[in-house]
Amino acid sequence: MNLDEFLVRLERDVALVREGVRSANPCTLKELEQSLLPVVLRYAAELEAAAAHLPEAVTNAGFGRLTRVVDDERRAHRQWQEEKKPKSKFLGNILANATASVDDPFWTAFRWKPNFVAICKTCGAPQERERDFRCRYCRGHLFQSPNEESPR
Amino acid sequence: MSQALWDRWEGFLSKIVERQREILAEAEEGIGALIAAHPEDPVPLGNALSGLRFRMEELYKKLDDTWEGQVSAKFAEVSNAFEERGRDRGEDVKQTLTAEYEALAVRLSADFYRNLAPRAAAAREKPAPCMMCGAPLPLPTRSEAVSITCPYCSAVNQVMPDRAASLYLGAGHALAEEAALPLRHAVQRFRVEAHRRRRASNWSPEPVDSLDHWVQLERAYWEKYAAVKAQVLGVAPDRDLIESRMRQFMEYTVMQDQSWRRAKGI
Repeated sequence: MNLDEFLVRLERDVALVREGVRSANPCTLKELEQSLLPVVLRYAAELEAAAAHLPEAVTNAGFGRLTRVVDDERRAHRQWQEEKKPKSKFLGNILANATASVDDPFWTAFRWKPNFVAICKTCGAPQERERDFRCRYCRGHLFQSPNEESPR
Repeated sequence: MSQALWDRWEGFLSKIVERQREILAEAEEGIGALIAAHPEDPVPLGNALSGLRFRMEELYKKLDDTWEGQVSAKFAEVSNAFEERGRDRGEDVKQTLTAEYEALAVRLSADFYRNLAPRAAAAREKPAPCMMCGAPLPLPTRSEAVSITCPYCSAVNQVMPDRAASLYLGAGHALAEEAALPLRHAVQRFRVEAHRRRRASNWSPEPVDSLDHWVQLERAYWEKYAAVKAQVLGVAPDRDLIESRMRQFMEYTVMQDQSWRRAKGI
C-alpha cells in the first residue's frame, strides 16, 4: 500500500461526505460526525490490515491523519456555517450573537447514555423489576458495590 | 398649520413603518437560515427572537418618545380634539406594527417545529435495542424518558427521550399560538375601539353587551389555542386550561366592573 495514494483516496471520500452534508439539508455537528465515522473506520481497517507490511512511520502517518479527520471536519463545518450567516444591515449583531454559544464545549462536550440497564454490583445480573434496586438473584445492590458502606 | 403638522406626523410614522418592514424582512431571512442550520437546537432561535423583540421595542419607544417629547404639545396647540386624533393615529400605527412583528415571531417559532417534524417522526420510528440482549424494545414513546422491561430477557432498560421527539412536544404551543394569534389581535383591536367609544361618550361605563363580547372574544382565543394544540399533539383539547385562563381573565377584567356584576346578579 502506498501512503500517498491512501491519503488521496481518504481525502476524496471525506470531501464527498463534506459535499453531501453541505448540499443536503444543513446538518448538526453530530450528524456530520456520524457520516464521517464509517469512512474513518473503513480506512482504519484497511491500514490495520496492511500495517504488518508497512514501515512504522507510514502506519503512524496514516493513523495520525485518520485521528484528525473528524476534528478537522468539525472545525471546517463550523467555519462554513459562520461564512453562511447572512449579513445584518438592520439587525446588527443579533444573528451572530444568537449562535455565539452554540459550539461552546459546555454544550458540545455534554454526553449521556441514551439507554442503560442497572447491573448488580455483586453478581452482574440486570435489574428485572422497576423501582427494585436489589438484585433478584443475590439480593446485592444495583448501584452500590459490595465494598462500599451503606449510607444508612 | 394643522394639515402641515399632520403631514409631518404621518411622514414620521411612515418612516417608522418602513424601518420595521426592513428589519422584519431581514429577520425573516436571517432567522429562517438559523432554523435551517440548527434544526434541533431552539436556543439560537430563542436568542434571535429576544434580540428582535428588543429591536422592536426600541422602535416603538422612539415612536412614543417622539410623540410625547416633540409632537403632542404642537398638536394640543391646535386643539384637544386634534391632539387626540394625532395620538390615536400613532397608537393605531403602533398596534399594526406590533401585530406584524408578533405574526412574524410566532410564525418563525412555528417554522422551527415544522422543520423539526420530519426529524421527530423519524425519531419515533428509530428502534431502541435492549442493552442486555439487543432485542428491539416496544417503547410507548420517544418523547419522554421510559423505564421498560425487555420482553425477551426481562432486563429493565432506562431509555432516555430522543432529542427531536422530545423537543417536538413544544410544537403544540407554537403552532397553536400561530393559529390563534389573529384572535388575540381581534381582542386587542376591540379593546381599543371600546376605549375610544367610552372616551367619545364622556367616559360613560362600558355597556354590558360590550363586556360580554369581550368575554366571547377571549374565550374564542383560548378555544382555538386549545383545539390546535390538541390536534398537533394528538390529544383531547385541554378544557381545564381554557377554563383556568377564562377564570383568570374574568377575575381581572369584567368581575371588576360593577355594572357588569349587577347585570349578572353577582
